[in-house]
Amino acid sequence: MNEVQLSLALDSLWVMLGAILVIGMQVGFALLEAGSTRMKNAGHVAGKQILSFAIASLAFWAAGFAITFGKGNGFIGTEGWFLKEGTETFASLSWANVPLELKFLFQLAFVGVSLAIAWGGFAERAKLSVYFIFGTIFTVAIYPVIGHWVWGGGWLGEMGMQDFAGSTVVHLQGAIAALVATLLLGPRIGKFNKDGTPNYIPGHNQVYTVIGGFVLWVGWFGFNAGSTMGTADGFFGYVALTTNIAAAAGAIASILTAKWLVGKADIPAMVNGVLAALVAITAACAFVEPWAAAVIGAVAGSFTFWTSVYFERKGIDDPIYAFSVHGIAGIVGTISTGFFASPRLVEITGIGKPGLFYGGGTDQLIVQTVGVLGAALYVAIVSFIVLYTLKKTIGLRVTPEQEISGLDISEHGSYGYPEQLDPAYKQTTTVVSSRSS
Amino acid sequence: MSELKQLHDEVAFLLSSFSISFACIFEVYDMLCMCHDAFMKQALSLAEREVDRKGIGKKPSSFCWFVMGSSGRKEPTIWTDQDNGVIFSCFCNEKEECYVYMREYARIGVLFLNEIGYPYCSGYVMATNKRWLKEADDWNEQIDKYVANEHIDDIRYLSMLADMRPIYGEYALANQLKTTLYKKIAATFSLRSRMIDSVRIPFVPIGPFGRVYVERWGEKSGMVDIKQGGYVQLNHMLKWVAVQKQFIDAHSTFERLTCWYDENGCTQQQFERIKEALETFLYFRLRCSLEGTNLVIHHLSKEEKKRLKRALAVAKRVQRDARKWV
Repeated sequence: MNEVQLSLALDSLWVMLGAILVIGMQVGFALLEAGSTRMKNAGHVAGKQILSFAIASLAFWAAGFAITFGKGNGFIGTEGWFLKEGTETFASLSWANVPLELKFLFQLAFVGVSLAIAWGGFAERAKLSVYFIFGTIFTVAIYPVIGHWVWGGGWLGEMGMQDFAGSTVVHLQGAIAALVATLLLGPRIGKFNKDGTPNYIPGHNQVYTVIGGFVLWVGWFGFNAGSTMGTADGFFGYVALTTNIAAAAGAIASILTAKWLVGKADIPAMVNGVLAALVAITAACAFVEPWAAAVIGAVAGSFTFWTSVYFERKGIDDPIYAFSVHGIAGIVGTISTGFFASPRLVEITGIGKPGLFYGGGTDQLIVQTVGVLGAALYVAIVSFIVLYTLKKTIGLRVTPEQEISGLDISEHGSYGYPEQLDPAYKQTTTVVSSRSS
Repeated sequence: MSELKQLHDEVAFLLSSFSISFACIFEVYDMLCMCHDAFMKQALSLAEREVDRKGIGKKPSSFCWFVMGSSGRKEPTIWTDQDNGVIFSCFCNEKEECYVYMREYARIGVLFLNEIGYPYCSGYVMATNKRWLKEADDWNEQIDKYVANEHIDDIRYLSMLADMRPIYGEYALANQLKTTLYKKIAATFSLRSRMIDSVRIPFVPIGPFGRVYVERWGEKSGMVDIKQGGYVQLNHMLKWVAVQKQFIDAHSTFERLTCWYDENGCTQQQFERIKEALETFLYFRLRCSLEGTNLVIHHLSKEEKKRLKRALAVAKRVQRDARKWV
């Protein structure tokens, strides 16, 4: 095996490992979301992760990948349907020294994450059919467009937007879709009182939430460090370092903020703080020094707890705080490189300019801001059109009766926790025990 | 009875038309307490007449109806529920018959009080509960058991009894019981230590930099629980000071504070701070009672917010220093 072959093999293995880690984040989302919602919806919330990833896999293979990375114009890719590769079709990914199939698998994992984030806003009240339709449209008409703008040779990439692993492309997109959905769906039954005061609807299993959060933390090494898509210079190690530092700072900052703001060292708040920090460092992980990573993680972890409380007070029922954790933190992270991008790292990555705090002026800050606004606007408009149309045609929301009985039984016909919720199961066990006695 | 009920309502109406300030709050509570005492005495007198008329059991040689809780501390709000008990004295051979009389008296007394606007106690701290109606010797025996057991419920009962105040009948009976109670508690170090927990455990909703924590969820969202959030800590701490120092006749929290200060138990600065905090909590408690709601922090003026924060900070400091003082 010569040096070129060895490099190809190592890079391929690394990207495969990265893809597995990021796809593994679906497990994290399943646990996090199921733990953060009620028992009567647990099977549905967890199970839809498989459905979501399956939809994304087929739609991204057929069209999404081509629109994101295929040769085209500054707004969308127009070649490479079903991964059909011609000359220069996927030139935007030519910097990665791995087979196209691996590039696809790795990028697919990102779409899967973005879609999983979007579902947060639908939780506990959306119809199953909406997941099929919106999931497909998101994968072919929403995510790929922004992906193309930033990573596929589009206009934001040309401007030098720094979004290393997707604070905007992956997280902000999913979060904006979640926000539009949560606004169009309206709050869950019982979330708010007549006078507008919110009620506490606790998740059914805080341990799941914590394990889910930790699975995501580990998966993020594939997300950020894996985005180097190469092993030769060992830069992935640096990216992993900034990622971990940010997550740690986010955990501590969020639990302290919760204690300070509401007087309780809230565990779900800490989990969300970790995730917010990871979301924020996703854009910046390759552009900022470790100290800046700590600052970005702490700010994101702290700020998103405050926004989650604020949105709730304003009557927005975002069941698992998807917009705060992925949207607000996505904005914080993307903008952060406009301040913190260090000249040393900008030179290594070759993207954009140094940030304001390194004498780079406001150029990068403006690019980052334009990127956030452009992406947010596009996703909001398209998501609204799609979801509003669905609302007016097939309807977004299950009936109140179905919502009260829970999506496990109303949409899937069986409970995630039959022993606790299914009267028929109790009857069966009673009969069995009386026979045995 | 209907006249008494009407008078009770009128007091509420009159009070809501007054402009109550922090400065006059102790006087307002004194007046309110006098009104409540007068209504209750009248109702209890009618109840006594009713039992006498029925001729059930044997009337004891003396008895005393006492109140506990906020009424016992002379700090009742306008709509206060019942917290009461009875002690009586009789010859040994007449005890059972006297119990029959007193139980009927308690039943009618509690009923009449409810009719004139004092709702039944949800925790069943009322003379109709055999725990709170006893002959004098039985009371002493019961107190000995509470003191010896030191169970969390026993401590709660002792805490309630420490606020007892006679309002009808032979006051000396209740006062004697209170003296005995205070002496027994003061003589038991481990008990005093456990009682400090009642000061230290309730959460004072104030954080670093003076942030006031409000209820986050539910119908009380945005509100502060004044009773559990600061008032309880102050009145418990001063109650235990009163027990230890044997301030038998000091009923209200402010009277207890004054006695403590007069005995050089606290500095003038501490006295002033606790007094101001007490005024604040009592003022907001009364206001909430009149408005029929909890304290909504956003409805307070800037000055009121500042004052509330100062009071909560004092309650927090009292929690911290409670062990040192008691």
